[in-house]
Order: sequence, then structure tokens, then C-alpha cells
Amino acid sequence: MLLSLLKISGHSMEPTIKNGSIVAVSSVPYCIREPKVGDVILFLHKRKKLIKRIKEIKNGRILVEGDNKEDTSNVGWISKDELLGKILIY
Amino acid sequence: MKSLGSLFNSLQLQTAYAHCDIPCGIYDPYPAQIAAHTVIRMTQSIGEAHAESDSSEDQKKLMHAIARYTRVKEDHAELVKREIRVIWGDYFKPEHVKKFPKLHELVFNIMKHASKAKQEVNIEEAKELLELVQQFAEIFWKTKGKEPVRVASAYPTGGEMVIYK
Repeated sequence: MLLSLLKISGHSMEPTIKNGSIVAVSSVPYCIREPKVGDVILFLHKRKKLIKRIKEIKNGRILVEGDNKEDTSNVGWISKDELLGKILIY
Repeated sequence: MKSLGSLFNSLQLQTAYAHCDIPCGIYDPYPAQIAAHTVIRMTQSIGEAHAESDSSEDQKKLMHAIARYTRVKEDHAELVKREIRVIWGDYFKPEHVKKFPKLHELVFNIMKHASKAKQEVNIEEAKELLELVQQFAEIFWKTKGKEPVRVASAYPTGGEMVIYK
């Protein structure tokens, strides 16, 4: 995906990204370089597109987490294959 | 970004979810405490149950009552386990465990005591289960930045409930 706009549903990335806001996402950055800790990413999880921040990367797997400490419903570790792109503008 | 939001507000955009499968942040150890009180109450009820006479009718009534108390005790001990497991698995994060290093051991003990409360008719086990659940509730509210307090319950079991100020 070169560049795509997405509407955010949910509170887990607040205060960084608020519920209902629009973000721009692209897969291009990860064609050039590897994902790194701190990136906000879009990924496919249980057939849903989710956004979270990368907390840790180990053995080709990525630990993702929301910024909102009040919402701690965890996705946990995902595979790099599930990665769709990097959130560029929010 | 606000300007992006207003610019593209009218467009039909795909949705990305900033949550998992359930609404965010709705966790509370209150139901686990109610379930633990119910385990105590059912244990008391089984202990107090008696037949009015040796007649087969009264014996049947006694068996029926004990079967019902046991079923409810079983169900609520399982409910304690479920409620605690969900909060432990979905709410607590590694930084919470760093701050409260006995959390995992506490959850392990709750699971064990809930099983014991199911297996036995033991009021001390049931009371210990409630105590452990209340310790769990106190940790939970502290992680939320709330000050937990124990107040007298209004249940026939007596005892307390952990709420926050």
C-alpha cells in the first residue's frame, strides 16, 4: 500500500491518536527498513486491521501495545507477516 | 491530525481498530468478590441444612436443597476463577507486575483456593478465597491510581467488600 487513509475506531492509542481521527498509513517505509520499537503500525489481527505501537521486537516477532494505559486489552505478540504498514501522519 | 480529520471527514474511509475484541477499559473486581461471598454463603447453607424428619419426603427435600447449594457454590467458585483470570490476563501489564511482584502468585493461589472451595465444604477455605480476591481487588485499584478501602458488606455472610475512595 503506497499511501492510504484510515479512520480510527477505539481508544487504545489515546492520547496519541483519538477515537474517530484519520491517519495516513503506508507500507513503503518497511520496504526500505525494518520496523523499530516505537513505530505506530497497522497490522492484520484476526481479520481486523488494528493499530498499536511496537513495544519490542524479538526473533522476528513484534510485541504491540496501545498508548492508553487505561486500556490494557492486549494483542501481545504478532508475526511480521501480519504487518501492513507504518502510520505516517496522525 | 485535526486538519486531516476535517478534510476527509465526509469520505468513506476504511476503519482501523484501536482496540481488540471488546470495549476498552471495562474491568472491575467487584463481581469476583460477590461470587466469593456467594461461595461462603453456599458453604454455610450446606452446613446448616437439615431434614425436618427422617421421612423420605423430608430426606428428599434435604437432598434437593443440598444439591442446589452445591451447584451454586460450584458455579460461583468457577465465576471467581473466570473473573480473576480475565482481569489478570487482559488488564494487567508487565509494569503492574513489577510494581506488585506477588500478583502472579496471588492469582495462582486464588485458582487453587477456588478449586478447593468447589471440592470441599470448608468454610475456612471459602473465607480464604474471599480474602485473596480482596487482596487482588486492592492491587487492581492501586494500579488505577485509586485508594482501595474495605467496607462492611451488606450480605448475610458478613465480611467486607473492597471498593475505592
